[in-house]
Amino acid sequence: MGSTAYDIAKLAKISEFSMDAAIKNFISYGEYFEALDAFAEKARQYLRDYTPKVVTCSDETRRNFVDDVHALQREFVNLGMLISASALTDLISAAAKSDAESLEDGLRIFYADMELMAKLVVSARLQPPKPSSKEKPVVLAVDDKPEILTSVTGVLGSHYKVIAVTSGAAALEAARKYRPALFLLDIEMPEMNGLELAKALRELPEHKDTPLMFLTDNSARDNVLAAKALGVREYFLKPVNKELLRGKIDPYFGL
Amino acid sequence: MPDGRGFTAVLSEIPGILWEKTLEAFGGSVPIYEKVLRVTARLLPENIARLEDLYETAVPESLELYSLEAHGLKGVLRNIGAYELGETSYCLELLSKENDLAACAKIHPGFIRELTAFSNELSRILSDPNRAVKHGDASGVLKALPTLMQAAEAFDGDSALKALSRLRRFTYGEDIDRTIADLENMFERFAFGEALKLVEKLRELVETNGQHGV
Repeated sequence: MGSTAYDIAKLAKISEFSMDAAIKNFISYGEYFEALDAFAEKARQYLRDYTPKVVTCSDETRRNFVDDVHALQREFVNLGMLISASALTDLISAAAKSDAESLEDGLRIFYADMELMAKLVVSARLQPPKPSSKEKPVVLAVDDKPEILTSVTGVLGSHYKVIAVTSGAAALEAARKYRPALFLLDIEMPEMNGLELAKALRELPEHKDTPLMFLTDNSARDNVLAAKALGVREYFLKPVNKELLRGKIDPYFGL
Repeated sequence: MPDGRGFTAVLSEIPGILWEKTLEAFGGSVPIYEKVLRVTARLLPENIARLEDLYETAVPESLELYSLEAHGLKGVLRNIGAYELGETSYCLELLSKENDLAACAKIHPGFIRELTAFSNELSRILSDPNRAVKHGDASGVLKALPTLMQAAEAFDGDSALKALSRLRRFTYGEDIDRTIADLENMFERFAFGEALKLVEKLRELVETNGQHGV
């Protein structure tokens, strides 16, 4: 599935979302957003397939419906949509009892809720900027190992201008000078590590919202959580993989 | 390549590398893999020396640095497909993180031996002893200086390395050749500040040689 970029701040404002809880189930915002994408599609599919005929259907169809709603409920919890998940409990109960009136009411509310949720998720999608010129977007890659930077410039260089530096100090200088459109940082570096660098970059007014990603060998939970707290969009694990990097970075630039 | 064979044929000769998997990770691009492998081969002896040095001076303070070095080396080795050596480096990283010097001592010497043998083999396989070097006109170096200067100021290693690769087809005298090699080394390390200084040095050398009619 292709990646879609979302406005994190906008998603966080949607009261139905408990994003702080949900993000813990995913290694990165990117993975979370992909799940949201899948959810939006599933919601649409569900609306198409399950028209409000459940009441007049056979017991078997009703049982299948209850099973499906249970599965959706689990997915809602996983995605942090706790209010929607709890609303489904009434629907399941009504379907199990074949209580036609409650079921119809519940279905109506459920469908309306699904439709609203799908709209909210879609509205939080970032519209990729249309390439306005032949200039390549600038990616600032930081790693203390030149061997890794050579790989990054190799796999991204055909579509991006990659500025590669080996220290936090050089990264800050380059960030001020070249206004990169995306940061790709290692975590374990001497002197200034990637998390410290990310904080310093966020303090630059021109880069408070610039997408930030990590490319690291470190999957320690503390680091993942610290990265998430900094609003990191992706957390790639080394070794460098072209398909993975391009697959996640390209959508930010409409490529 | 030394004998004109394809790079993938050479790759299969390198022991301890899962090259097919790595080539796939680079999107199937042989030039990218080749470049990464060459840079890694050039920097590996220094990486080994640094790890050895940190081990020799291992006290609690520097064990932390040793751990960081082992961590970096692990990434570098996996990046070229040397997964087994990468795993040993990872093992050393974890042991040194726990300050377990005794356990490190059991693994470190053997790892250094294996890694050195691997590094030597890599350099041998990638070297080109038959490379033809013709005498070049130093004015070509002078013409390349603005590109090199601009590349160093703009953190643009690729443009610099392309220009330097053209210059390296010729020889201009020992000092200039060595400075060009050093410059290539600095750009490969993304050490742009150092590269800038070397561009200036190269200018002085070419101009001095020009005055002396070399």
